[in-house]
Amino acid sequence: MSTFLSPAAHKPRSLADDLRTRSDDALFALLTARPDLLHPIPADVGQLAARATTAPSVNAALDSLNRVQLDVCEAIAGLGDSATVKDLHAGLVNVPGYDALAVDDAVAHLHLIGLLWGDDIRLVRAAAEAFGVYPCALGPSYWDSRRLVKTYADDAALVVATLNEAPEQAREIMAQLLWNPIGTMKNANRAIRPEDVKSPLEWLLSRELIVATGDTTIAVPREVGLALRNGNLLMELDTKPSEPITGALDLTRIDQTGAHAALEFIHLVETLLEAWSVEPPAQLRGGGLAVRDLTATCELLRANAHITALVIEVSHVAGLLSADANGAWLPTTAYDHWLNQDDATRWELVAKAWFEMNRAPHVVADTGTDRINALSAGVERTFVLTLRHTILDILREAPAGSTTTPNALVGYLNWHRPRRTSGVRTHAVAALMAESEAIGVTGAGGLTSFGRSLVEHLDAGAALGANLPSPIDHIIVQADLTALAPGRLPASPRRTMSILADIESTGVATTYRFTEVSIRRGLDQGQSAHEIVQFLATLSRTPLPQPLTYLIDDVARKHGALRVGVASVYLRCDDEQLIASVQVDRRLASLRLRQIAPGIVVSAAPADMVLEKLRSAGYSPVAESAEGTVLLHRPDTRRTSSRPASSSVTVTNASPRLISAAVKALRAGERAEDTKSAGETPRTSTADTMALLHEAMNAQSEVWIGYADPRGITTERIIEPLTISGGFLTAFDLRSNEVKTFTIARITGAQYAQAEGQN
Amino acid sequence: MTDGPLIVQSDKTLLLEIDHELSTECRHAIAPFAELERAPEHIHTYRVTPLGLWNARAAGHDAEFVVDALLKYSRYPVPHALLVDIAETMARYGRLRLLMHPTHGLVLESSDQTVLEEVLRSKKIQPLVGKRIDDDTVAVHPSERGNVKQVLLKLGWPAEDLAGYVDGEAHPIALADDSFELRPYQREAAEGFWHGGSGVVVLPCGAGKTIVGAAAMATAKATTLILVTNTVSARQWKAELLKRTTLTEEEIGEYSGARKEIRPVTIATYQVMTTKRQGTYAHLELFDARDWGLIIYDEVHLLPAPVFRFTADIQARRRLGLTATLVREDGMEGEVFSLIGPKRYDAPWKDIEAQGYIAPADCVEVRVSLPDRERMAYSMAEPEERYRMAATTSFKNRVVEKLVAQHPDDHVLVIGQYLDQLDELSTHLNAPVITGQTPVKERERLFQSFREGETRVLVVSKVANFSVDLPEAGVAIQVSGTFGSRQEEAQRLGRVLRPKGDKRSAHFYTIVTRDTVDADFAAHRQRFLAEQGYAYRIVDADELLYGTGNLDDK
Repeated sequence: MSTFLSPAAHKPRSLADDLRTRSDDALFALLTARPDLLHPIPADVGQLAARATTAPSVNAALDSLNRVQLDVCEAIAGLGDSATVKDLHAGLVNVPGYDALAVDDAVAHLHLIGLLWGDDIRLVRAAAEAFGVYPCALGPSYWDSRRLVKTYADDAALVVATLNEAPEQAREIMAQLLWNPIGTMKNANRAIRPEDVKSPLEWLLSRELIVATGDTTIAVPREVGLALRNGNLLMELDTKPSEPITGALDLTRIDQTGAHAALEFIHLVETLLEAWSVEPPAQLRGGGLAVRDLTATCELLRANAHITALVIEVSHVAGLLSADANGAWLPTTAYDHWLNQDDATRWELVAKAWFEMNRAPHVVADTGTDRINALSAGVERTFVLTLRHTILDILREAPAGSTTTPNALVGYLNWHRPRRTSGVRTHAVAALMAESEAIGVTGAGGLTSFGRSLVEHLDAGAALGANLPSPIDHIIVQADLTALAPGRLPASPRRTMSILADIESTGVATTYRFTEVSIRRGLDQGQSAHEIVQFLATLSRTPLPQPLTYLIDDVARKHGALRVGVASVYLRCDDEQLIASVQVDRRLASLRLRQIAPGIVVSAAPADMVLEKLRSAGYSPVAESAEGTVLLHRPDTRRTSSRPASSSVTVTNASPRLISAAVKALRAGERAEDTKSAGETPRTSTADTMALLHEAMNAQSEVWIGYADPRGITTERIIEPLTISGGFLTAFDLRSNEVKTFTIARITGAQYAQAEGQN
Repeated sequence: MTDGPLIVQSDKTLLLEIDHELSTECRHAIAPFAELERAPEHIHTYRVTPLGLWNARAAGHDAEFVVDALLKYSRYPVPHALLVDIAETMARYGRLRLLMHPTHGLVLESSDQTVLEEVLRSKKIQPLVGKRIDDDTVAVHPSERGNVKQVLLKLGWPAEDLAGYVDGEAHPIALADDSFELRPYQREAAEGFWHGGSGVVVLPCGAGKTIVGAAAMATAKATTLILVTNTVSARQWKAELLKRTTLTEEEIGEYSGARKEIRPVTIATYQVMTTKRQGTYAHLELFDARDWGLIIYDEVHLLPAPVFRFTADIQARRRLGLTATLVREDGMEGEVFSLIGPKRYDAPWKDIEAQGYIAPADCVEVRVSLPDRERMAYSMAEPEERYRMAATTSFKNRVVEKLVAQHPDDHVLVIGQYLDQLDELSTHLNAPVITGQTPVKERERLFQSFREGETRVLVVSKVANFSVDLPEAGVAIQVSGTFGSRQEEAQRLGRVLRPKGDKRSAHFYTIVTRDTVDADFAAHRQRFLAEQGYAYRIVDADELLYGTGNLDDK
């Protein structure tokens, strides 16, 4: 208990006093609402109160308020110290949207979470300061310093009557200043008599409807403002949250749309990792993926930067992608396992990864000055995890088929967490909805049935499986060298098809086009013309058209007609004419080809370049090994054995058990505090010290403090507090006769100097 | 999930399975809004484009119709985003309307003020409109009717033109009702056009587009300006009109390089319209020479840019565009839509063939190899010379000879690009040659002799690409072309598609030099026809020359 006043006082003098009188249940509720106070568990109520009144903790508490709670809190700040609940209602009763019950509830909540204390309503200082110098847009009070203002304070009607006499422009100015009490004016700080008035502002000044606060600034006195606002502290009260659900759709429609997206999403993951198996991008030195590689991936996936980053990030979090020891981003061994599972199971894994990840792929797409690289630490945003769960919970709690839009969600969130309203959150909500649609957790703005299973931690894969078209086992090949897979092919033929033909259109179905290049790709990978025809004939439901078999034979005929050696690069060919024409071909001039024997030509250029140039000139060479056998150009598919980085730990709400334990610990701390003997220098808890210092500052009294120097030696000072801010006390040191700044944390205790003298 | 014939892809392509029992029904349902992109034998690919959706709106269909069609026939769930996009795109058409206001004249009116504000802020629109009449209406200078439509289309807010048409100078025209009757699709096309006011009718070569034009004239009963590609085609139009309508020789004028007649029905060539004299188009005033009630654009996909510019100024006159394909190599499909009008009728090639109005065709690509000597020269050649070298290889002459010999009873057209090659072939085959240098009189004599059967083989340059009516031609052999032009290939095939008396099928051969740019261009050219359902067979020249030798047995 405080050492400077009789403990008999019933009225609590500080938040700590108030908290001590609260029941265990109330403390439990406080700690539940403000989990930050539990880290670490405070030793006693004094420490708890001290922590609960620090600016960061108070700001976190304010962040958790909804629109009406925050508005009521501001109204209380606007009322100033020693106001009562009655004053509060009086100041709000005429505000549009006023609801007495809602206001009482808000007051009760503010009290419960320790922002208000005392029987009257007293706001903790940090909370009051959070609303700025002029809460409720009410100017400073001039009740005791201006004669006219004093009369206005007693007679609100007089203010209105005075203003009614004002010139038109002056009234307009007042209307502007009504909810924005500070303005600027040249030479404001001078006395103006009514008869000397030359401008509307001077008119207002002369009637003291505005008062100069400096040479160039003016303010509407609090008394005038309140009178003109009919006593209203706020412009309006919004006690009803906005509706997050904007419409309803048939659940089947939502599921179908979602299933479509789900299939497309796993197709994107597969496309990405297949491509990176062959050509893995390098990890940047600082971690992450280069912007250049991201752009190339966007083209590969035919998606925008946001969705591309989403595919990459989700693959990573799902453990399908990781960086190997050499700093290349490669699919993991888990990917091979994933690849061989059915679509629904594959989706479940990536959807779960998304649901639980604390990464925000959309920041990768922001093209500001500082670009954030995908897969880097910069993509981590703890708030998106909470936000994602909040959004999906809103949809989960609504009836099935309910749909929402990012705007409606933002409106809803802005009411519930107004202090968190920001462009960043608005942006993130839209991004999360886009992601959710892309993955198929939602479809057309509504939660899909498999999305619901995901959120409820049920078997999401099975739920999706029920909505997927069954896989197909055939393709349709046509004479214009296209083929259609009219649904989902199993993994193995799908892979082969994507080698033998170029993909033209994807969706549920896939259309392919066979070209000379794509067939050559198949031959390069070691398949013979016969095998290719065999494969297609088996897969196709219709007979292979003649132009396709002709194309395959034609490419195979030319394939390997030219052979390129590695050791000292040579070209050899049985066809004299061909080799001769290669030699004279102008496009190959840079290779400096030289004939060394009939049918054999050499070049000093690297084999790769020779191959490249010949191919681009329209020839169809193959590489040859030292033994004269054909080297195939099957790209090695690579895997990393390293495990994907685990996602970082996030702070979650404390469990009820932890909170109960904390309450017990607090009580124990209190008993220990009571038995502590008083030292030579004053020892008070920080909260008591703060309360005393504030009181002393307002009363301009002298205070005796104990102050620890950096070495830990405590000295006594007699001071007169001037200002307290940011953990520092500025005060007049009576012993050294100068203004000094003290670190509040080092003040070991404080007592009124008078009280000490009297003792 | 239904078992429909249609697969809707998220990239807005529609895949229609032809062998499905509902495919015909589905095709009719989606044809109004989706453009047929490819029509090979099993799966047809349609694409949903903004222009296609607006065409559908112009034809009176709404988004609900489109969405219903997709949902009804789709085998798999339709992506919701696509449906939303379709609804949004379609909602853009008709928000702005061009109307004739009783007191203010031509006005642009909007049912949505914000849209009007948005377009009026555009710098391109500002010079074209007059004063604001009220919140929803702004005056438009009558001369800018076409330009406004063009700009609005580019801004993505196509205007519906309801400002009506001038009747023009009346002139009695009727179809000659003896001995001939409109085919059902011709009647539908003419009615579709007249109902829509202005627009484009898409019919395959040989399906009788001239008759559709004549039917439109008979409905308009007004003076008509007909724009055609060249003089020969102009003569053919004249002959056809004399045969099919009540018009007489004196009522039809020809406005070409040779003659400058302006009569109630005037047929002018694009070439003369775009002839410049001292930097100005000397003949564009033809548009104003009479009070035309109807303007017909033959082969609208070839319409030259200056004619577009002038067409923008005559938006109060009815315009009929005729074409076999809306594909333009220059990508000016939007201009056709905004200046001539939306598509009013479209019949797929294969449909008309199935009805027996055009002959079925057998398309064969013959691949020849360059002789060694030429292959060497080809490798060394400059890139711009390569196509010519590959396309004109003398080896092709032997193939042509063989092919002509294989069709002893058919009328054969040998079509090529390069005059040297054509002259050589002419000598080789002992057949007359027609090129751009041949005088018109001589051309007509030769065509006539071909029609009458005196001349069996004719070697022609690209002058015969369009609108030369040679119903007897049953075999076309293409030796070279204008690089990769798809529509040229379509037109050339069209030469042999007139239905034959004995229902035999037509033959279209294209001779291509393997492993050269000739083959690359050929692949590009064939795409249009392959997409229309004409499958090419590929044969080796060696097989043709030394093998079994009979292609028909295949």
